[in-house]
Amino acid sequence: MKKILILLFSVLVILNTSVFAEETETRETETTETEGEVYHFPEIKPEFYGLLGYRLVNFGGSEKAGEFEYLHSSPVLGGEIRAFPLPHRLHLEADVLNKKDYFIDMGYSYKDLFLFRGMNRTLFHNLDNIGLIDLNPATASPGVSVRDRGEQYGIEGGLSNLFLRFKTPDFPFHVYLDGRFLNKNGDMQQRFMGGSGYFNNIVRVSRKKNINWNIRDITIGANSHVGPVEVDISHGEKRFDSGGDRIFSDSYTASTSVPVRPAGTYPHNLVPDLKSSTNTLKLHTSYTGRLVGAATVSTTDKRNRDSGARADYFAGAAEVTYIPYNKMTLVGRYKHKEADLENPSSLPAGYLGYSAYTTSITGIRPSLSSQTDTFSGIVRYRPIAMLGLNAGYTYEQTERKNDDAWKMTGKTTRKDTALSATARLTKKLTLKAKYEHRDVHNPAHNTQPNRSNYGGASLAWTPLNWASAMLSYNAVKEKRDDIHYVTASGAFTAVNAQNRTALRNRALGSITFIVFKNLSITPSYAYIHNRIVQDLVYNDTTGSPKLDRDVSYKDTAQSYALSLNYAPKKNFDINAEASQTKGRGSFYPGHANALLPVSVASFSELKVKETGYALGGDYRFKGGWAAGIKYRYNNFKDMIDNPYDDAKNGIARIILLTISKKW
Amino acid sequence: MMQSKKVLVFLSLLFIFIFLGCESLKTSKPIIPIKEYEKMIAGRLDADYVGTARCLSACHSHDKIKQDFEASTMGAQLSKKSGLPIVDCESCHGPGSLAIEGITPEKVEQDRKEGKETKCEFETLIDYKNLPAQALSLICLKCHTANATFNLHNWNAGVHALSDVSCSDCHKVHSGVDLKVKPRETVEMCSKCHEEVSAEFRLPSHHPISEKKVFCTDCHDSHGTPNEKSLRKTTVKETCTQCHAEKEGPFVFEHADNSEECSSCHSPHGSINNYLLNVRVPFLCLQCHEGHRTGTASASESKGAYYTNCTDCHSTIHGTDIPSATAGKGRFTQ
Repeated sequence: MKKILILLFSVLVILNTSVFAEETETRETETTETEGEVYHFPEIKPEFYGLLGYRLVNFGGSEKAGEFEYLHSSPVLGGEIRAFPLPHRLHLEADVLNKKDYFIDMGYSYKDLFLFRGMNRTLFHNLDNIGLIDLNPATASPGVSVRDRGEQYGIEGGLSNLFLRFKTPDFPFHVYLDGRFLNKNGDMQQRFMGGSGYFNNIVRVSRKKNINWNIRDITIGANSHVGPVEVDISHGEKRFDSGGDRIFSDSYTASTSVPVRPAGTYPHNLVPDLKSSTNTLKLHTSYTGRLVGAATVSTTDKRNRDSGARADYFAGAAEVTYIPYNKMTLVGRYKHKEADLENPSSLPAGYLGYSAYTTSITGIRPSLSSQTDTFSGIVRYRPIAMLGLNAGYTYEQTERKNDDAWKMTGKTTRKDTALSATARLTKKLTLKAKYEHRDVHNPAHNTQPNRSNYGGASLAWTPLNWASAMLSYNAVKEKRDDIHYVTASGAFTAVNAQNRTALRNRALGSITFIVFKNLSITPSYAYIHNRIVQDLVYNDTTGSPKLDRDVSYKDTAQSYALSLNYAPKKNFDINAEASQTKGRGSFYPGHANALLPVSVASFSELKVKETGYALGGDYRFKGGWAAGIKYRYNNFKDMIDNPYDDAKNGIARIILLTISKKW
Repeated sequence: MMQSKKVLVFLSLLFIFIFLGCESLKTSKPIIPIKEYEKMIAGRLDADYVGTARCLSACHSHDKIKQDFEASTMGAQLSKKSGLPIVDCESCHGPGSLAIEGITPEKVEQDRKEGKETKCEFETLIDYKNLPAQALSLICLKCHTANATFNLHNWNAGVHALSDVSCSDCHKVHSGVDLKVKPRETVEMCSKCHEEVSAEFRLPSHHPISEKKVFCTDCHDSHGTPNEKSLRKTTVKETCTQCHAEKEGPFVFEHADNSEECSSCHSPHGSINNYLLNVRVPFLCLQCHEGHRTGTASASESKGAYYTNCTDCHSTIHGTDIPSATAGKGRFTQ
C-alpha cells in the first residue's frame, strides 16, 4: 500500500510539472512587464526580547488548587527572536517556567518555497491519590488494600508539533510532513479489583503506576492544482508505545463464578501498544464561486499490537455549496462512515500467562461494527443586512452488526431540525437565537433521547460608549420513552423501565464598564445546571432486579468573576481578577434497598468551592527594559468533606517576578 | 475484503481526477462567479493601479504596516517574470490612484510643517466596513483558493462562513508579520464569541485552555471541517485519542460502541465532576447498568464499596484485552 502511494505521489509530481510548464508559459504572456524596475527585499532590523525571573510557589493540601502547575519554585526564562534577512524569515519564542512547564514556538521559511514550524508545550498535570475507605476492616470482603498511601501523583506531558512544507517555484505544488509527538511521563494511581476479582471476595486495591507513554503521529502528503479541482493526498502512521508499568500481575483468590477461575497469579490492567494507518484523499473546486464542492475520503486501519484486535474505518464526506444569489446560500452534505471491528472470538491458550484456564474463554462478545449515513442540508438567507437566518435539516441512519450480542438496537435513525437567526436590531443591540429539535427512532443507549429540544438566545448590547453587556441563556430538554437494562446475571434479561428526562440550563451574563480611558472593569456570572430524572435498577443478593422510580440527579455550578484592567501611565499596566466557582451534585434514590441503613448517594455527594485571585503589573522603563509581577492565589475547598469523594482542600500561591529587555 | 474495496475506490477516484485534471490548466477560476460580490471588491472602475511604492512613498503612517507586510508570507510571493511582489496593497484595497490624487511628497512635507495630517481619499478604496462577511472573505479567498494548502478545504460550508464570520474577524492582516493567530492567543479570540464555552473552562474539572497549555485549535478547526462541531478529526474519539491514545483501542473487550463516542460520558470543555464526567459516578454508570447488590446484611460496607467510584474495580472501563474473573466476560475489572 505504501509503495502504491509513493508511486501515486510521483505520478502527481510528473503530471503537475507538465501542467506547471504550460501555465508558466501562459502566465508570462499575460504579465504586464514593468520595465527597469527591480525589487529589493527591504532590510528589516531584527527584534529580540529576553526575560528573566523567578517563580515562587507555596502550596498546601490537595494539588487540585494548582492542577496544571508544577508546584515547585524555580527561575524563569523567556525570549523571542524575530529576524528577517529576507528572503529568509525566522521566528523563535520560548517561555520556560520550569523544567516541566515550558513553551517553545519556532518557525523558519525561505521565500515561499520552504516552511518549517515547530512547537513544543510541556505541562505538568497533578493527579489525585484517591483514598479507599473500608467501613468495616474486620471483614475481609468487601475490603481495601491501600498500597500507595502518601504518594503524590503527577504526569509531565510534552507535546511537540512539527510541520515541514516544500513548494515548487511559481506553482502551488506542495509536499508536506505533519508530525505530532506526545510523551507522557510520571506516576499515577492505579485502582483495581483484587481478592478473587469476583463478588465472593471483593478487595479494592490502589497502587502506584509508572507510565512512559509515547504517541507518534506522522502524516506525509502532497497537494496541488489538478485541472478544475485541487487534490490533496496523504498517508498517516500513528503509534502508541506503552512504557513503564504497562501490565501488572497480582495473586487472586479463587472466584466461584462458573467457569471457576482457580486461585493464582493473573495479569491485569494491561496498556497495550497500538498502531494505525490512515490514507486520505481530499478534493475541492475553487472556493470563490457560486458553486463550490469539497470531498474527503479516508480509510483507517487500527491494530492492537498485544491482543491482535483490529478495527477498520472508512469515512467519506462530500459537500456542495450553492449561492443562487448573494442573499442566499444552500449547502448539501453527505457523510458515510463504516466501522468494522474484529476482536478475537477466543483467546489463545497461555494468553498473558493464563495457562489452561484460557481454554474456556470462548464467550467473548463480538465487537459492535456499524455503518452510518448522514444527509444534511442548510439554507442561509440574509433578506436584509441586519438579519441573517439559517435553517438546517439532518437525517442520520446507523446500522449495527453484532447488535444481538449486546442487546442493542440494530438500526437507529436521527432527524434534526435547526433554525437560527442573527438580528442587528439597532447599531447597539444584536440578538442571536437558535432552536433545534431532534427525533431519534430506536436510540441505542439509555442516555440517548427519543426527542430533544434546544433553545437559546444571546444579546449583545452597547447602550453607552462606556458600557457593553452580554447576556445569554440556553436550555436543552431531552425525553426518552423507555429505557432498558440488561441485568448483571449475564443472561441479558432486559428490564424495561419508564421514561427518562434530562434538562440542561446555561445562563451567562457579563458587562464591561470603561470607567476611564485607561480603566475597564468587567463583572461576569455563569450558571450551569444539569438535571436528570429516570428509573434506576439495583440488584439484590438474590439476583432480583429492584426498580427505583423517578430518581433525580442534579448538579449545579455558579461562577462569579470580576476583572480589571488599568493603565495609570502609558508605560504601566495593572491587571486584576477575582473569581469564585461553586459546584454541587448528588442524586436522590427512593428505594428502601438504596436508602437503608445508609443512602447509596451519600458516598458520592459533592460540594466544592474554588476561589481565585490574580494581580499583576508591568512597568516599562526607558531603553526597552521592563519589570513585572504576577501574584495568583487559588483555594480549592471541599465544602462537605465527604471522605469518599475525590475532592480535597488545597491552597496554592504563586508569585512570578520578571525583568525583561527589548532590543 | 472490505479494506481492499476501499483502497480500490480510493485509487479509482484519484486516477479519475488526475485524468480530468490533465485536460485543462488550473486557473483558480470559480465554476460560476458571484458577480454581486465581485463588483463589491473590484474597487472604483475609474481608478488606476499605482503600486505600493507610490501609495506609500509620501505617507509614513503606513511604514510599519508596509514593513510587516513585506516580511510576511504574502510579501514573499514574487513574480517569476517581473521579480516584483505579486501581492501588494492594491491586491486587497483596490486601485489607489484616486486615493492619492494630488498628494506629493512635497505636499505631505508642507502639511507636516504646518502641523496638519495630509488627508488621503481612502473612501475611494474598497469599503471594507460595509462589505458583507462573504464578500470580505472573498478578497482573501481569491488568492487562497489557489494555494492548495487545504486548510480552507471546508470553509464555504463551515459554520463560520455560514454565520457571517469573515477571515478578518480572526486574522488581523495589519497587526504584525505573522498573519496566523498565535496559538496562546486563540483562547481569548475564540472566547469573544464562544463565551459559554469559556465559562465551562472555569469549572473544577477542565482542559487547561485558560491556562494556555491546550488550545481550542487542538480539537477544532475554525476554517471548517466535514465533522460535527468542526472537529479536526472524523469522530470525537479520533479527536480525544490524539492525546489520550491509551484509550483508543481496539480491544478484545470493548465497552459496546460507547468507546466510539467519548462524549457519552465526558464533557470535553469542563465539568464540576472529576475526569470531566458529564454526571457524577455512580449515577453516570447507573443510567445504563444495574447497580450491584443492595439490601445485604453488611449493607453500609457493601454500599461504600459498590457506590463510590465504579472505576475503583472497573478500572479498564475504556476497553481491555484481559478477561475478568468471570471468564470470558468483559467486566473491565482486569
